[in-house]
Amino acid sequence: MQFQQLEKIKSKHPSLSSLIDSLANYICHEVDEGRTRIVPGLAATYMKRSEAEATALLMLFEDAGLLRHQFDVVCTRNDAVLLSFPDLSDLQNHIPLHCQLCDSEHDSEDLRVELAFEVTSVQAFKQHAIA
Amino acid sequence: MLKQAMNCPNPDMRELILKAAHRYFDTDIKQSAPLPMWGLIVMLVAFYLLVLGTVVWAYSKLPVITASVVFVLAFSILSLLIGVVLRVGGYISESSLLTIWKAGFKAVTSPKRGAK
Repeated sequence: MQFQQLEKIKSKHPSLSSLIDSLANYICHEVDEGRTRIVPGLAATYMKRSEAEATALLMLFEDAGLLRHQFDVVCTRNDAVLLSFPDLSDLQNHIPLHCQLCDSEHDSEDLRVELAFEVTSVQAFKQHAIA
Repeated sequence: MLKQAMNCPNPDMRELILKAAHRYFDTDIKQSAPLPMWGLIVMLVAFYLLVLGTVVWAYSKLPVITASVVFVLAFSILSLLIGVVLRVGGYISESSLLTIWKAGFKAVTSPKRGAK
């Protein structure tokens, strides 16, 4: 089956065609494994590219409506994702943040923010994987 | 991320990285022709001498209170100029410049909060 959104991205950026395919394959693999949270650093490792390049390509997928970005607030002690926001400006209203695993309140020193992307069109990637 | 963009040979990818940096990390684009370090130092020294001259002139010609106001204003302008030079030189981003000024303004206007 034709992955129309992917073809649109490739037609806009023909010089990045192979990288876009590589990223789409990575996302398909993740979706197949039941994971819908895409981390730029892990995508970069798979593609053997820099994290900046992976983030830029993920942005194209978001523009095509295939992904949606979010900022995950992570506990630095146990790496648990405590909250997710679409906009970082919301973060200040939720600090200090309670971590159930640590059973304590964390301020900004015990937290880090990670950019991640959530797959919005799981079906599209599954169909692409089959094709 | 901006550093990686500058090192990227593909112009299409470079543009995308800058766009992504701006969208996700509120980072603006670095100047395409950064100011060389010697130019930066000459400008900073020139500004400093200008402000220092103004302060010396103020204390020698004006009453002490008025001269003190001129002193404070002169150094405020000097700090703004230093920030602007660093921004023009591409050493700091626009958001960094604004954040520094916002923090400085808060520190000056809310001494009680700063004392906590």
